[in-house]
Amino acid sequence: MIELRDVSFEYPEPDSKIMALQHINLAISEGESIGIIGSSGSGKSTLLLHLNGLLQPVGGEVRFRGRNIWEKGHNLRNLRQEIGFLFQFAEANLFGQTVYEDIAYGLVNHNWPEKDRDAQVGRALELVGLDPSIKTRSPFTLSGGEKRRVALAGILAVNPKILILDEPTVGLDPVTRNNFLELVTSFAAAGITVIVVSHDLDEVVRIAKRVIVVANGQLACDGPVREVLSNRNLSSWGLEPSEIIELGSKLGLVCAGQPILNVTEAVAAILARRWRDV
Amino acid sequence: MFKDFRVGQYFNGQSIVHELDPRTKLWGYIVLSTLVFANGQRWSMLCTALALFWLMWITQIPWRYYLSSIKSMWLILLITIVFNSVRLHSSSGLAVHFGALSLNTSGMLFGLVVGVKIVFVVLLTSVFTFTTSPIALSDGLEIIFGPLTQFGFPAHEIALMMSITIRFIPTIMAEGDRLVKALQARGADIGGGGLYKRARNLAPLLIPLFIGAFRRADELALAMEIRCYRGNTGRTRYRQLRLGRADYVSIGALTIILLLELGFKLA
Repeated sequence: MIELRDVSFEYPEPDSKIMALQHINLAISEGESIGIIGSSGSGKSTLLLHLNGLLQPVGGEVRFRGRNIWEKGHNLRNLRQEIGFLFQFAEANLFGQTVYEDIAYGLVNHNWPEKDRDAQVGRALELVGLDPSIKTRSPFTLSGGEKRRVALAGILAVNPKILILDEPTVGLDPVTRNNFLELVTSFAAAGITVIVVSHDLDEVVRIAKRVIVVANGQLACDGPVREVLSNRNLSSWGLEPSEIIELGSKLGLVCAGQPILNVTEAVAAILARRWRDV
Repeated sequence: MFKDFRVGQYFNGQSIVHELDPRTKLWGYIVLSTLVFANGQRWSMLCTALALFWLMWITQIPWRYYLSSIKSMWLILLITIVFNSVRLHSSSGLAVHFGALSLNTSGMLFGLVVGVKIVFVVLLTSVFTFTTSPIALSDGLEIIFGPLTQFGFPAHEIALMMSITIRFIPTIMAEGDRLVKALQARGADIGGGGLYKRARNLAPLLIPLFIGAFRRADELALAMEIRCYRGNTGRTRYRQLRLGRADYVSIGALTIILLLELGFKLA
């Protein structure tokens, strides 16, 4: 669906001699749920910006459905309708006088018929779990969690096939964060391709089946979530294993012959060991 | 779009211009800006252009950054040139009339000269801000305005305000760039269409940009309060500004140039 072929990118700053992305090769298929992890400044966000044509690579090609998105005649706007992008602290991008105006912004830009807009906004609000009565309110009067849901609704309103989320839960309180993660997980389960960048490995475990590690602008590792997150090189890429994985590793906990990834698996592994000991 | 806006950005470097005292650079900025606007003669413009290019060259900052400063001002430049080119009922040279207004060769030449002068000032401002850190600028301004505090002039506050303004230009531009990307991701055609459409497309940027700027100002004020900022009262300086030989030579040369210019004007 999306393919990056030998993609390189350099920010035009006088001091930056290191390229932000170096010869990235990557293929993303329909329906995948992918977590992109890496330390700060590793190039994760730059990589995301290439996926829907917000940055043009200095070398290589970005292909969507087999076509180079930067070739002459390719419509980037159509691409952006199919690939929704939720920026970090997306609530800071809200601008509409009402929630409705904000959510409908993408629909207007993509020339959706006026008669369908109400239904699409209503559907998007329902998807993110907000009451339709919120439509007439100013987005600036909402809570932080609600604002972020409104921002997500604005992305979902145009029915994207792929959802890119850059640190979607950063700055949210634990309960709101948990609800937001459940929401994103439900999209992945519904077959929407979800690509999420996060520093929180527990979050990645909940959403992604495949994990890509970006280090110094290069793809350091790409594979199934369990395989990547239990990789011993994690610290050399500027990452720390999550506490539960580390605990599991120290206690030698395994679930179905694999190192454990989350609390549920840890509990299962401990209970299984207790049974064995009895 | 925003990423090209370089005015106000500081580039760390070791060039002679970087090393000059901020007061010398301020004096240079004032003298050269005066020369740019005081004189429209070709030889004077040429001398100013040569001096300016020499300055840009010795800063060792890539030329593309100076070019991007001009590029970001293209709309202001265009408006200035057009407004200065159009005259009321003028008939000198080749003229095209639009009702009471007319566009003629002398008017266009005048508009062009004003445009070139603006380019020079933008480049001069870029040389100044690219090579002077906000802290050095604030220190320099405060010392220059220092004597006026006797008359109740808030020298410290004004210097601080100016340095904070310059410091935050690149931050606000980066935020603007991020917002443009967020809007483009939702299908906005920011750079396309006519002037009216482009202006209308930019409207959704302004609210989040202003909210962000106010929030940042609020946070900065709080951070200063927390660190017991009390204005200039009882304040000592870690960095002491001292004029060196290069500063004295530069100030002397600039003053002579200014006096010569005044002499020519009066003669």
